[in-house]
Amino acid sequence: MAARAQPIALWRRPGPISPVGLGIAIGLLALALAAIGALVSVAGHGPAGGGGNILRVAAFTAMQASLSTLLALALALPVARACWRRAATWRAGWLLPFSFLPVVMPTTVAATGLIGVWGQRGFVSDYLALLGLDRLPPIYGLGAVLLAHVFFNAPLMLRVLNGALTSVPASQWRLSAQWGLSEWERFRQIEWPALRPVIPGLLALVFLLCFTSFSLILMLGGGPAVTTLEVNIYTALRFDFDLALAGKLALLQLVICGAVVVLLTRLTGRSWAAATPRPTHGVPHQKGDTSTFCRTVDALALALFIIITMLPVIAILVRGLGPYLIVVSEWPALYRATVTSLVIALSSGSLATMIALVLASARTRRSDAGLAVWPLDLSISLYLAVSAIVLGTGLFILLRQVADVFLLAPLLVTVGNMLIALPFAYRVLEGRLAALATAHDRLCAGLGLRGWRRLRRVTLPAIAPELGFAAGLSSALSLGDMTIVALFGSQQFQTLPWLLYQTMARYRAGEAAALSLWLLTLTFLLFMGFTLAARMLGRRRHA
Amino acid sequence: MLEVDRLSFERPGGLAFHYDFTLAAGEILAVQGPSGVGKTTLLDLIAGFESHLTGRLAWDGIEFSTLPPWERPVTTVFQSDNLFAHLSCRENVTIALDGATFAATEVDGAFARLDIDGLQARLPEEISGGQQQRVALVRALLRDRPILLLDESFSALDWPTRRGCFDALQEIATTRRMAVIFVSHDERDAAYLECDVLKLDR
Repeated sequence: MAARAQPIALWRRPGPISPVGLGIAIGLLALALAAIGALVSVAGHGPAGGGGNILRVAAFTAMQASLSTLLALALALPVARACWRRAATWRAGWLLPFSFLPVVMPTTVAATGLIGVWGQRGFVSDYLALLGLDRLPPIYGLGAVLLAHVFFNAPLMLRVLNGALTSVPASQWRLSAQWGLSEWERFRQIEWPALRPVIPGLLALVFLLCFTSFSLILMLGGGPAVTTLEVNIYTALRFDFDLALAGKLALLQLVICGAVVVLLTRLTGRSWAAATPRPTHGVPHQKGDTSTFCRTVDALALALFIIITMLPVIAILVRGLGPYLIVVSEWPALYRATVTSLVIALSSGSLATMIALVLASARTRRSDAGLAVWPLDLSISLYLAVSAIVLGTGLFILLRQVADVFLLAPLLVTVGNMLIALPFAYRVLEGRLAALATAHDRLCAGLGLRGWRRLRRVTLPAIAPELGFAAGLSSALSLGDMTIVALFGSQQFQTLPWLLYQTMARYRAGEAAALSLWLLTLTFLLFMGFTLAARMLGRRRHA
Repeated sequence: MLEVDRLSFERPGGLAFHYDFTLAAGEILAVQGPSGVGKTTLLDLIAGFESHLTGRLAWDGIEFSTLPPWERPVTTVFQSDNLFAHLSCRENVTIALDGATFAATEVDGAFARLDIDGLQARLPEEISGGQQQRVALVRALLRDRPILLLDESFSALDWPTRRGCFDALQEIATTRRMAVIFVSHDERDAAYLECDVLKLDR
């Protein structure tokens, strides 16, 4: 007998959250389409030509993104294995919570940190000079960009790969130990099958992040030879005011990123950001784990990871603490920029979290009821494909005819940052809400807990940690943003990253180091503030 | 009296189930049978989590087939995960009482009756599986719906603990005049309760 279409069970019918979520999704889609439409309308005008140059830039962008991605994986893979195997004996597990720091660290701060370690006046050069050796050559160029991309993305990959390894059942490790599998056999038979499903999606995500890299290229690229489409869009818009070229470049960027997002979704389904590592349980010792070769490899991997990802942080702390902290504390611009940045970060972070919550709730309810969820998914995926510069350029062109975009700058930067953070906040909440629905739906329906009462008493307390994480993450991303503000910033409207970038551009390294420390501290406090506050709110008060 | 009147249901794919029986208030009915025969489906139909094709469900002559789960005269205790992890045991009970105000002593009395007094302020993760199921029973007791459905609710407990739960269950069924249907794999359960058995087969 053919399966008949089942009507939606009465108790699964979604409430008003479903139309509200759909409405927001349609609004988001309309805004993205309007921005893309604005790009198309200007790209057609203007002189033809320059195609060869555009393609050369696109090819270079893709090349640096591929190299960055592969290098990050080459570092993260051995570190993930070492972290997992040495969690108990070497306490290597503490790298995992720390590895979150680069994810929220502003790019401008990371750039000063990297220069502080590897620059001509950095740590390493200072020691070389002490030993009577030559200082390192200037850091700027492709090498610096690759180093920065590995700094940001290797920790992200480490978290996902480590999560995949912890999902291997303990019995499999024990069996492999009983069978006496060699190091290589164990990797091939037990670790690789767990890692393989997450690697393609991870490569696509990191490629996307490196392909749309903007501020790192601007600060570390060192000249027109090392550039990306994003940087070219920015210079076309802000310096040459060549709207046609900016539009063309933005559309090319959009097409390539769109293709990567489609590939990403195909590869990983909806789970591209499901990177929550589970608590590490003790792994039984393996034959071979304790061999000298194996321990040396692990030690080298961990040491390299610490050098690449932690030295820059240490450099920011050491160089930032000093007399220049007093110098910058006397700048009125510092206080104006701090207030501006905090207001923008808090507004766009909370907006992104609230919208993500509504969209994710609507998706969960509609999915349970068997209703279409693609408009919700599409509205989110589109903002993953539309990079910050493409979105900003689209908004710039769209609004230029009706208003003074530089007067609207604070609003545009807030909205732009909110939209860029939205996919990340959404992923954090959506996975948890779907899991909660599975656990609670029948119980709540049976007990008559519905609507507002269920949200307030059951759902919100249960997702408080994820809400705090989403709000902390999106505010931190927004606080560190230098992309959208680069399009709309001016002398009257400055954020902290923009002030830091301008200080660096004037080669005032001491002041830049002090500003970096200030911005890093604020980012950290904002992120931790949200995460801890949410945990406290969600925690039960025991009698 | 619960009437399950020529009830039929079909899974997507065509597997069909039929149920027809009555159960008086204060009685306990054990449902037994091999896996996949429709034991849980029967409870889901009565609770309203699944919609039947034909037939009717009624309590004391009043049909409730068309009502959503929260308006039916039913409380279900599932095999596991009956409690919200972020709420204390007391809140897990009172959250379901829907505006009805209970004196703290009444809630405490129910905890004492099921031999779990003192656990009210604990979180579910801080007590054993058997204690968690008894907290769910406290909630069912205070919620006071005439039909109680137990879906292998005590299967994971060791036999002495299970016996304790059954004693409490029997007392509740008799004093509160509840009709209790419980799904079980273990024939000792029905023998201990000396109740009727509904044997389902393909």
